[in-house]
Amino acid sequence: MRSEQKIKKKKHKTGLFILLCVGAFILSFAGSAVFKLTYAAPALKKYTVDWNDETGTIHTDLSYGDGDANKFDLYLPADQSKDAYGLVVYLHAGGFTTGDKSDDADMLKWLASKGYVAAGINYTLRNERHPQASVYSQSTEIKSSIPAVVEEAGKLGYDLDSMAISGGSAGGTLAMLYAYRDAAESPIPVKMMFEAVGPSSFYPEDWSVYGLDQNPEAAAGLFSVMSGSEITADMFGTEAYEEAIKPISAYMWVDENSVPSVIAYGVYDKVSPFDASKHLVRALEKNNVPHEYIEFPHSGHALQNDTALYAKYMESVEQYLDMYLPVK
Amino acid sequence: MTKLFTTKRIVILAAILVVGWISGRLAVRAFLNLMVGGSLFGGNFL
Repeated sequence: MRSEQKIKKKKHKTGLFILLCVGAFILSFAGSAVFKLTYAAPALKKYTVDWNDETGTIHTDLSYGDGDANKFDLYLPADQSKDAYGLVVYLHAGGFTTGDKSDDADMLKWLASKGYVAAGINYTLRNERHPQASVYSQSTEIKSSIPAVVEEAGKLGYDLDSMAISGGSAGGTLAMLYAYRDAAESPIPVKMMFEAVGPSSFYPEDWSVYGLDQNPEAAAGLFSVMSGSEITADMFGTEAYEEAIKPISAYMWVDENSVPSVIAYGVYDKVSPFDASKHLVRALEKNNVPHEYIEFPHSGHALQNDTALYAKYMESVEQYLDMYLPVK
Repeated sequence: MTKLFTTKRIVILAAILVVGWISGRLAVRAFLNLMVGGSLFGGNFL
């Protein structure tokens, strides 16, 4: 009778221990997942600032055109005593179809805290309401916005005398187009550009992540939508294609006068194909444009697996800003 | 009297905690890689 009770107790404790193991695994798994999602590397913390009245002021939804999306936000540094300021524009990501200027509030606040006038600019996204919007139309909107940004900053007491333009993903593409294609017409001189993971060339063989290397018709369809002009499959490899795609191919506009650039790309990128970045890197090298190219060997579109290199990207951005757009 | 926490069980529990921790971070990384691309190993440990 006693031994039966003993066996029963032992079984009960074994069951309890198994339950404990399952609970410990679930807790450890969930804790680790949350930690992975929320952990911020110490090297990147300095790029997030505590924003208050002593840091600066924010003016939102200032208009630069008639469209609903033709709005920009200005982040102004608290020190209003200088004769002139540098402008840094940061353009949001979102695959040309989603996203908003407020997505980059942290970056814009950090730039303003350094003493720049920082601007986040919206552009008309391609969606059901705007089926005609294209990368090209978005790039022309950005071009038309800069004079309004300069004028508005002046009205608020911040005269701008030079600028940098930047962005991530889709915003990176638009930043490159302004810096390499439109800089000569800018109301203030463009001094540098920085961007991450923005597509800068459109050749089907580079876009294998979408299968476009095997499907010229699909490639023609996608690139027609992006360029806003009609591209057919039989145009690939011809001069006619080069002409048709040039308005949105930032790398084609790089020459010996192009502005210093900091660029970053992920080798495993599934969204903006890594192979499409090679033309840009070659163009910058060939034309002796001062540049810093940071390749993320373990990362995709979010540059998520190489934190040390992301810190290097931000340090390079800071160095280039200090060198080419110094705060007076 | 049977003890719930024997040395053997403490070692097993510790091993389970380590496996859970590594699996959790790998699961997040695998999911992100699936969405935007990336390698499962190399780069960030945390």
